[in-house]
Amino acid sequence: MRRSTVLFLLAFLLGGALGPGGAQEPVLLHEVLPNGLRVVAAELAGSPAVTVDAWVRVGSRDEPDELNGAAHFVEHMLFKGTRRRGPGDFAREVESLGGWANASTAWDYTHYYVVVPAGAFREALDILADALANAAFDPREVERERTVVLQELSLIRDTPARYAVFKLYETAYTVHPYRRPVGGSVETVRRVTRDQLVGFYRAHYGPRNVTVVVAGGVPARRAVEEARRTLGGWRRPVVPRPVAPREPPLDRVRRAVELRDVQVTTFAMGWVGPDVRDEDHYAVDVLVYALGRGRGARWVRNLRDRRRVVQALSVSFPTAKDPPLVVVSGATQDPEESRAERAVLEEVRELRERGLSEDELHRAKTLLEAEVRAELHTSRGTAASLGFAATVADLDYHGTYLDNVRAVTRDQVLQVARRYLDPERYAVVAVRPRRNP
Amino acid sequence: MRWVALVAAVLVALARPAPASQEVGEPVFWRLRSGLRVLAQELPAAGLVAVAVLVGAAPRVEGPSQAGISILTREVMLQGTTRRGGQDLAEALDSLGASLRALTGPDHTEWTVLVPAEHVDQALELLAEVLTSPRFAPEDLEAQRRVSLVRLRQQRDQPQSRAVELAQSLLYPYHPYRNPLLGTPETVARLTREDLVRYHATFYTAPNIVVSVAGELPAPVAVAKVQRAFSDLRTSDLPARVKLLDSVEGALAHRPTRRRDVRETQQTAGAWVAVAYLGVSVRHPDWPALRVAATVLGGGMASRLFQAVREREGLAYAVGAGFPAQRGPAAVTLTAGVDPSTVDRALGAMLREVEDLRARPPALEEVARARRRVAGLHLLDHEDLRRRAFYPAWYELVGAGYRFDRQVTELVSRVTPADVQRVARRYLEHPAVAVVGPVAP
Repeated sequence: MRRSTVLFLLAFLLGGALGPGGAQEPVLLHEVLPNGLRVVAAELAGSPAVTVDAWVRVGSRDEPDELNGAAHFVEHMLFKGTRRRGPGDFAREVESLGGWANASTAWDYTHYYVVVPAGAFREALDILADALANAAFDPREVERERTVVLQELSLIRDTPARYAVFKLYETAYTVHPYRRPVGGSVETVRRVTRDQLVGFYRAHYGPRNVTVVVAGGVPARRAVEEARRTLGGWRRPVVPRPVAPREPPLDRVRRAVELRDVQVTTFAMGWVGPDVRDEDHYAVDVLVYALGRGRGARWVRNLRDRRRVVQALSVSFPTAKDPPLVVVSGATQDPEESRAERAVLEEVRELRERGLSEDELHRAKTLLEAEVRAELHTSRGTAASLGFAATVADLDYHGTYLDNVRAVTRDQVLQVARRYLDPERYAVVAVRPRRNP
Repeated sequence: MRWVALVAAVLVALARPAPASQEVGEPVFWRLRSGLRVLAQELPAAGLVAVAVLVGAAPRVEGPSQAGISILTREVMLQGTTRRGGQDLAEALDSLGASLRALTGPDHTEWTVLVPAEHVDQALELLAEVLTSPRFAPEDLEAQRRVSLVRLRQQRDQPQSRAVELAQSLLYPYHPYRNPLLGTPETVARLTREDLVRYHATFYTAPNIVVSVAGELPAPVAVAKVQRAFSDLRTSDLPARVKLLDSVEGALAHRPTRRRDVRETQQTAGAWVAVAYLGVSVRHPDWPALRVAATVLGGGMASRLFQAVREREGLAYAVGAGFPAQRGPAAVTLTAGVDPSTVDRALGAMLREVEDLRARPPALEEVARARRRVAGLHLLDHEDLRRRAFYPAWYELVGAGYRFDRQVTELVSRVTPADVQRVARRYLEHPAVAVVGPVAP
């Protein structure tokens, strides 16, 4: 969870991103190896780089309560040594190739990526494959890493904007695993044993749970062949993904307030939205852009620029396997969040009355499409988009995402606003200054 | 100064455009009669074009009582022009797609868009309108002032940014790099509309701007479009105070002769340590060696700080070192986020690594890895078209020349272990140390 947020935008624009007479068509290959491992290769002609990105179908949603944080802890341990490599070797090798590596954990997935100059593709794949299949979990390394993980939790806690959103999920949900923080709590991270981590790793890290994406300046055919050579012999059964209990709808306003040694009030409000399988989520994506993305977004202009009840505002909606929250968050110079909260609710009521104008719908779709295209012009963005789709939905998802966004109508947006944004039932969290000025 | 005369534009126009391949040549450079510098690179880019406009309007040129004026001016400029109001402008910017990115660093303010090639004309016209004809409405200023003050306080609420800010202000007692990017609550509260208008008129001028275009657009076409769009820029020269800065800043940022410390208490879960040393300008011959030294110390997961502080001692999640390219003397900054009870241990470990680098030259293998890392990250960062447009323009603006973007790798590859030790001894001597966090239990 070094990158803490869940990816928002997920689509792959095959062909559509290419201008006439431009670069060659990208070649996209997809193959499931006999051991169940999925390989996706996207060749980006002219790219000097390649991203090798391994997506594992495991996240904090798959943890039992007492092991909350295990998926993230395992992520930290993966680059801490194998039978062939010592703890610092991964970093040394990747950096010797002139590249960098990182990983992130979310509710529904964990992924590991290495970005290197295209010529170093084979070495990068080799490093990643070794880490995935052969992580050693040296007991001394586990203890050292525990301090590091705890330190990362403090870092999140000390960033009110991030913390408020974590706290919002805890407040809004009662039974679904999305209520727990992705990185776990100080207590669970302190308590989890080395054997429990190894057990978790063995149960979930097997070829059937992994998609390896290769995107960049490497021929697609060669990428698939190399992946077969490197990971085709990996055998390890995995346990089926647990089905999470269904979260009952919010029945009232749920509130949590925390006083801190801060100068600015940070708040977040949330409503349970549709999951990735629900067609409604395209309309919600468009709605979120209309309300909160870009300088011309309705709520940014109304709440920040015109009424000035907030000084920072963001509206977000992650794409997720189970229903996530539509989140409105912000910062205000007021000592409390009440004025901002009331103003957001007034906006919600107005939205449910009249929906969006044709211009607003157009602006939102244009911006959303442009951001997707910008994301996809690098090897890293393309790899992340493909890997996410393969892991949380299916590969078709990114091929069709933009078409589905383009097809969203004003009426659909109005319907989803009425369906999900209830001004009487929502969750709200505030981090306020301890001493009111 | 190296530049190509306007004649070159004609020659390039007649020449066959460069074939779209992985081996891309350096950008084409023009200096227009107005003083505006233009860079253009034609690249295969999936039908996209990036435009980066870099302006020398940043903390480096802010007066002592003007801290924060660069960002405040930038934000008010985005609130409306003499031709259209805030709502219209915001919608026009968004409909360009790939929202306009406006960022400010110590030496520059960057305005960047990434658009489909067929929209590049509108993008250039809109950017030019924002840069040349802001309306600076009093109500826009008041709204943005509030936003800026809240952002300032939000930043102070975070121990990481606060620690770096404190270390910087210790390191630069007289140099304008002392100013935090967002300014201080006192200066931001006092800036007037007249201040902003004057600041804009002084620094948003042709000789103080570099425009760079990269993507699926022939270079001569790009320069013609830029020339047309930005024909309204003022051509006035920079004030003497700013022009003199290059020669006097050595005196403004003199080498410290002792270590200085500051601690600030904040009731946070983690504590942050920032250790800053005074380095050199990107134009200084020692810059490549100091960049490699900073990488050996704290660049990436194989670095000494990461290995010692995080991997061996498990004291921190985030630990590293950075040394940016700046027009004036930049700082080598080491940072670590640690448990409040281990602040002194972590700080001790960080300073020990610095001492060790000063005491003996690093192994050749370690230096080679750091060199490859610097070169590799440089290459990978150029994958993004926006960065591709940005880098040469930025090196041009900070006085290293746009070709520096192509020279960095070569310069860095020549750095030896002895060079690394020499610059460590010379520059990494007397740190400014800032610690922000709760009182240790």
